[in-house]
Amino acid sequence: MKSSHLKWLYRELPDLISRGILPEESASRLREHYGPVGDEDSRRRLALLIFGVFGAALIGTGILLLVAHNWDELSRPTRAAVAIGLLLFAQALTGWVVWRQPESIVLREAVSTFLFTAVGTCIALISQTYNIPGDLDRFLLVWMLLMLPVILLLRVRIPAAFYLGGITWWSFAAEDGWRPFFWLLVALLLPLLVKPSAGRTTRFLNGVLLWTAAPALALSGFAMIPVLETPWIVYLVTLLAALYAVGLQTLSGEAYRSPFVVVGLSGVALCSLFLTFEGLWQWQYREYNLESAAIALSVFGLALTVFALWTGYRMVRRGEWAPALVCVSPLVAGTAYLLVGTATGIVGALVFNIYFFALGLLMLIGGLREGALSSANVGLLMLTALFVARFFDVDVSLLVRGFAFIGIGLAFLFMNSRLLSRKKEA
Amino acid sequence: MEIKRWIPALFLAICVVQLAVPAKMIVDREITLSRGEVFRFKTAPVDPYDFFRGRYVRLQLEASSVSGTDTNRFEFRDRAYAIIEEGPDGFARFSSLELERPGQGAYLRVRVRYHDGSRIHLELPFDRYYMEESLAPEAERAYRQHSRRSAADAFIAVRVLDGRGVLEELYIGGKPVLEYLADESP
Repeated sequence: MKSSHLKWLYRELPDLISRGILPEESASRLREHYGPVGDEDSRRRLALLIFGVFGAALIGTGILLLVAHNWDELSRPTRAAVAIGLLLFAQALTGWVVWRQPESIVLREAVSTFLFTAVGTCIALISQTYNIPGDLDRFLLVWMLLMLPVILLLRVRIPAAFYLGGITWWSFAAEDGWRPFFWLLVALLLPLLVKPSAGRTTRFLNGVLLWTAAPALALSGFAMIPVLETPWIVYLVTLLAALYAVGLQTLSGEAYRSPFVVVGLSGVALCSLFLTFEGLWQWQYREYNLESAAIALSVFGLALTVFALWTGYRMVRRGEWAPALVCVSPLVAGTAYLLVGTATGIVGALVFNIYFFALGLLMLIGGLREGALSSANVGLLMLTALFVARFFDVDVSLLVRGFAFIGIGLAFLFMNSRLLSRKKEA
Repeated sequence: MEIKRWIPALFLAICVVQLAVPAKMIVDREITLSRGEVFRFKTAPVDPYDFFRGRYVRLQLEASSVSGTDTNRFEFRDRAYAIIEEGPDGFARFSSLELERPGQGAYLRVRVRYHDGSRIHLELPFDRYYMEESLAPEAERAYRQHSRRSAADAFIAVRVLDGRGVLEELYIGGKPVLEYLADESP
């Protein structure tokens, strides 16, 4: 709960108790449950953390830039010694924190971030000194794997976020056959998320990590394109739906606060919009390959699909139709893909046009019913996007298109004003 | 609680591993530079529209391919061993390509890029020469000038030992590149 809301609640409690609305015992239990309002110390710690990590990252980056200047004046052994010396210094600094201040989250995060940049800088400088060819994938993999034990040992989130960024980059640079190992590299981070968060600083750090993880995992879907060939569409939609399902299953609070819900939903919506275009499906039809479809429907893809569908079933039982429809998108993508193989490219586009329209409509209706302005607007935005997309495809007169746009614009205004006035009455 | 007592020792072990990786990179190359055999590879004619990428000079070598080998034995990204021989002009070239490590003679560990007809094009472990950024444009100009067909006297010196090749120096006009630039500057 936001600290401002908590402050309000704690302010109200004495009055509620005195008027007999709330028993004393319930008030104590409420205070126990929510804990103290973010006090000055924890806010200061958070500020220290942010500045500390920024400072460490800036220092590390600055050193990297100095390195990039190529110190031709120094001899080769000297440059090698400087590279090793930098790494030793970063390790000594981190070691001092591990030995003397292991409980300080701020120091652990700051020094481990510095160590992260020092490891990469050291390897890069040695590569420069000995004119070693740039194998980007190998460099990234070695760098990330050398930092992973530190991340797990010190339980630091900022370097973990950098690690996720690094392995995502690696998944695009690696040879095709190695790319699926991205998931193993992600799984190695799981021990970090097992312990539930406690305290404002750790919650903030977990937030940073999760907001990095969600886009990284979504992007990795694109890295698998050369591995999967044409069925990558099915894989990507399945991955995004599974991310959304993870967000729904772990949701505590409002949906927009969950990175997996936001990224998953945006990803499914954007992918679905792209899949409403016939051109993409005609390409699928020409390059259709059922053999690699078997790879796409491998155990991993199947597990993601089952998880997403199970979550969708739970949403149906709760009467949440729009989230349920997002969760069944793997089935829609799989069906469209199979139909394209048997019929023609346009079938895939047709399936997704119907799906996207249904999704937008459900979000709009759901938002109107619950008085949720954001959901209703997202639904209407989706319908508008579909309409605009078809604007470029379908041959309709400018007059009709003009009226249609005006109609949608008026619908936006009308809907928002009704919802706002309904909120005011409440 | 038990694990917490071990954290400093575990961190120390991690530091050793982190140091071992760059240390091995340095040691391997220093050994090659001190004990390896020197070979000179001529640079290939340069497309005048190639642009300088970043702060290193991109090298193109004449001897970056090998002929007279059965191309069907090799696929894209295969690791192979290129046998080095010195030509009558004193410059090195590759006489053949093997899948197994040779027992003797000078050879280089390479990767197969592609083959066209009877020639197999190789990915060599030296394709760039790092330069200080203010000198790089001048070096690039000099390199291009001395790699043209009419004045091809740029080459690199490489130390080779047990299949590993380490670039020792880039020569332009017969001089190390830094010395050449120093002599040419006004």
